[in-house]
Amino acid sequence: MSPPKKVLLILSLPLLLELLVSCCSCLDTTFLSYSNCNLTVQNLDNRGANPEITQETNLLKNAFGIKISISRSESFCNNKLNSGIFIASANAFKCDCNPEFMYNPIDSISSIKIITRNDFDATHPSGADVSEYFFVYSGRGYTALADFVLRDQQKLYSIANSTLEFDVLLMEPPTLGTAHEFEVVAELADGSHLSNQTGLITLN
Amino acid sequence: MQKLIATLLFMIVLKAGFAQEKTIGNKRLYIKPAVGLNIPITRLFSGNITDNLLNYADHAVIFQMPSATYMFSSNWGIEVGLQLGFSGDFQTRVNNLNSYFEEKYAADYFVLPVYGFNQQNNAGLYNSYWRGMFGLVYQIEKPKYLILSKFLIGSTDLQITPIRRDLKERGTNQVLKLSYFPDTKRNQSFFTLSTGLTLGYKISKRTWVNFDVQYAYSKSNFSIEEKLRNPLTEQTLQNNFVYKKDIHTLTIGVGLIYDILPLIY
Repeated sequence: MSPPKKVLLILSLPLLLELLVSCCSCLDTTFLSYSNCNLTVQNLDNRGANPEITQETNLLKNAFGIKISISRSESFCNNKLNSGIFIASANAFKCDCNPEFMYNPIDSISSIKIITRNDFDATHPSGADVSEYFFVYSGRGYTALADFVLRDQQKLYSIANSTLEFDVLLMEPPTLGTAHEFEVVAELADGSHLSNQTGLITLN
Repeated sequence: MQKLIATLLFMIVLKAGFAQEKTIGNKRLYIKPAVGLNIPITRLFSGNITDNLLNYADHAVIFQMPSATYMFSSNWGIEVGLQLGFSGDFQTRVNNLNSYFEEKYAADYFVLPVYGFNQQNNAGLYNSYWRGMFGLVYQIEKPKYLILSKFLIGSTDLQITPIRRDLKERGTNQVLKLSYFPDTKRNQSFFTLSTGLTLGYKISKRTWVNFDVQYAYSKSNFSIEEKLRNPLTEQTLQNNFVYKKDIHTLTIGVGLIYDILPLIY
């Protein structure tokens, strides 16, 4: 090896060592908990290229959907999130470190149901569960509401911006009446539930 | 195939450089950069929309990439060469696809790009194909002229660019998945036979300008599947565009022939 190359190698050794050390210093995952606190719903008009939140009450029954938002909070509800200005610590992501924080739900969502408040069709009178007609569209395809909730939607790696938001689309329009109202109910593992209603809408 | 041709090319230069006797004698090592036009006798394209997914053109500008002919005797030699074919109409193909989708579906559907897949105007549509050949060369050398006739075998390699689009139905929640994918693999290689004639006019001690005519035959056998799938019901409409063709082409080109053996040895 020529002298200039040796000098370069020696000079770069500290940098290489630093790289190795930083890659190997994975922190242990800290396990925390969160609660599902509040559920809100908004009507969606999907007549265009993408679903849009609407305040209109007169909507197309073939292009109707509901945006469901479930806000979460660290530990118990009403806890204010302490978000520091600086990052407490940082891991080298390329080193296959486990996530620094893992939030598990205190009260995981066991199911989300959509209940019709009006007669929907011949087999679904007022008060019936019509969740089977609603699907989540993800880009790859449609997912049944039950499958979507039970998949990976309950794992959290950061409590900031942790609100669970998703759109459910009505893929089987009602055959009875035009005035409809839906109630979205999230049942939690501890037996409690969160719910909200769409308000009365006209589906044509 | 390109790797094989490149290896052979390297070996020829190496052989020419090291396996010489003290005198070069009748041996030659020609390097032949050239440019030409591919004129189809029969075509690969059928006029289908899927033609736009093939990185190929029946009418193409051809660049003779590193190509070497090693004459191991006064008459006989071996040639190895790579040709790069440019169709030169990338934007036209993109426009053709977009126009086709709009005309066919826009009345009832929004034609949407699939996130993370050819999102920006079919960026995957490359615009070149390769032909790698090697074989025997027979030479007649006169004081001012050089005639090379050759018989070559090799392959023509092209890529097929798959395309996906989402068709969001206007006024409903329905989305259909439209896709065009090759039935087997994205890289297709066609066995190719070729014969040709090169006429060179000497302009210096080791340099000729040349006119080149080359005939090539290759056989393609693949298809592109058009699928329109309803992800809710999993109903699928499928249509196959078959490219099982005998492709005869004529390439006419001009270039330089330069004997580099005295430089190596």
